[in-house]
Amino acid sequence: MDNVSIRLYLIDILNHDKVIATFKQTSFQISYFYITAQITVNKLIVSLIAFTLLFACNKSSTPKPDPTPTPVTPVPVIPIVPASLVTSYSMLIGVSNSMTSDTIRYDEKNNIQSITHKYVNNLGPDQTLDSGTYYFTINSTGTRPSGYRVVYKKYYYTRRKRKSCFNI
Amino acid sequence: MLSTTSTEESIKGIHYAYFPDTIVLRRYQEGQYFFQDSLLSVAGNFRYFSESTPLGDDWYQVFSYRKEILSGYSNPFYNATLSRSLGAFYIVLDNLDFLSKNFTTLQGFYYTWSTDAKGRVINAVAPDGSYVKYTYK
Repeated sequence: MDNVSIRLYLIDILNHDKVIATFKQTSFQISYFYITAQITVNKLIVSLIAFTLLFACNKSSTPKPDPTPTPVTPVPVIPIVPASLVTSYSMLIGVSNSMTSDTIRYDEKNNIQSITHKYVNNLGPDQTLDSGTYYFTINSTGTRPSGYRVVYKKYYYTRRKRKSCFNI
Repeated sequence: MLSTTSTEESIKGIHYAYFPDTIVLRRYQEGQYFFQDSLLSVAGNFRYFSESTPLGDDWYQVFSYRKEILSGYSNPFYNATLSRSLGAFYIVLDNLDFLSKNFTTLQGFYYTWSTDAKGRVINAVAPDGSYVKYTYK
């Protein structure tokens, strides 16, 4: 493209000197404008390439330290704890002075067999006690219980415990 | 969907509907809604509980509470299988969280936690005298 442009440029220069015809003059002006524009574009591309190369060289050869390094907050390392089975859990709520406790039993495959729950409420003039136990039926796949039976007694029951069975 | 049927006269059944971040429990009493509970879990951790009961054509929220996440400790009750099946059951009926991967506490309770040599949480104490305690198999 450059060779063709230059050749046209030279031809047009010769024609310009002779001033043969207005058509030639017009042709020269168009060609001259085209070539000038072409050279300008080429200069721009070359300049961009040179600038890119210079910029890349500057980045790779002269790394600058961060003037204001940000302190890195250490991340706590949480150890991986092997699976542990909770056998008892108790919680005291200070505001209500109430106490919850659970005892969990497992079978030989570590499926939950039963959960015994007790709730002691000391809020108010009288201490109250709710208690009950869930007995789970483990199915053959062992993924989850297929049902459970619950025996429980609320503090306001005046008579014996209640029982109910749930199938899942 | 997980459902239970009961021999107890007052409760005809409990239906658990599991969605990506929400578990809805409907407790039926003689063919009608008795309670509708919603548990919101975010990223596998139990965060919000709401219990409502029918009131005319609308619902009346009985109570609700929020949980906070203690991301530094794993929940010793967590069980991958139960989390997607009976995890909601234990939370609602027994207040034990088998659903969350991380420790959760009631919002507003700030405990100081202690661990054993294996890194398991064994107890925690709050400024108001509240405490929790765990023992392991």
